[in-house]
Amino acid sequence: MTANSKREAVKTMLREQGIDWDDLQSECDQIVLFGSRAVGAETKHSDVDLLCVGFGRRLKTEEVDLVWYTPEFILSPKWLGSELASHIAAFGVWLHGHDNWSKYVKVSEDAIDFKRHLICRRIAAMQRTWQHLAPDYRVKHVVKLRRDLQRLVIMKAGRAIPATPILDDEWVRMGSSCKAFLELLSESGEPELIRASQLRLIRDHLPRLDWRYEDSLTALA
Amino acid sequence: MTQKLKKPPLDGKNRKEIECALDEIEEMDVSNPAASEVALDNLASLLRKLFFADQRQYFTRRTPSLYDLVEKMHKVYDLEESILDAAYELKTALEDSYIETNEMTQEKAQSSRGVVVQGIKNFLEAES
Repeated sequence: MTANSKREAVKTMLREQGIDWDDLQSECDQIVLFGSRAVGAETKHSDVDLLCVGFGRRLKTEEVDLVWYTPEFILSPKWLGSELASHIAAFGVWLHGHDNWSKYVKVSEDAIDFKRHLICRRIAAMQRTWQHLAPDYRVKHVVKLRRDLQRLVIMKAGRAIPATPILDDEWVRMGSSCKAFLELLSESGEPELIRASQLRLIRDHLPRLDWRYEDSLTALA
Repeated sequence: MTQKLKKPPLDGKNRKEIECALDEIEEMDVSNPAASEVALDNLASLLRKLFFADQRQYFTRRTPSLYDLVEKMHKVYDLEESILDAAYELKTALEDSYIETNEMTQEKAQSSRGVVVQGIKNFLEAES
């Protein structure tokens, strides 16, 4: 699919949500499609992810996610070092305006720290609440944890984060098992996460998860 | 106007579980959306079990968020609308903080968290 055909598809999807492309375009310096639809990996449940460079406010529904940043912020070290910027710089499709920032992107240590922090605190919260979480909630957070671990490994390797369906395909190639999950923890090279593999949650409960069930939930997501 | 349902009775164990889940939310670090999401889902999981035993009748998709639960409790039971608004604010603040943490989203998350927690406590304490 070319950028033009993607733009037409996005226009149609936005129209269905009551958003007029011409109005949106008039408010933005740049509109960049990212996520699964940018790389042709979308499913029928995928939303439209758009980076809008301008002065609007984020709009997130099940169908669209409009992420707004100002023209000034988009050139700031905070943005240029972020996980999202690295993803969009590598996989984004410019539907409107010109790219004036992607060549300056490099994932920062702050972004890696933030990801590490998200993972560690998610594990701790899951550990505390596990007994009350219904099976579908457990699976949801195990999937999110696994995806974030994959992202951390990729960020530390200095590569751009691919769209989520690509991460899920990679996970299937790894074998979609508890063993593969433990390998990811180890591959992260993070002492705190490697220690986490000794937690009761991971040692006792995760092996009992039906990882094929997890795949089916991933496919539904 | 649709007739609201009566709250199902909760035993001491159920109440204790909800109180613990509310404590977890009160103590959660709103600057960490991942941990916050687990805390909110912990309460959502409990509320779904206790108030929507026949969940398929009420929820078309799996793992409804706390906002989905609160929205349904507002429609089906007598949960105040202000809690629905606060649950939405909390949800959007946490979604925003995945891509950018700033003081504004944290303040929004903190204030809406307070409304949600207190509102659910009031709902549980109110006579059926």
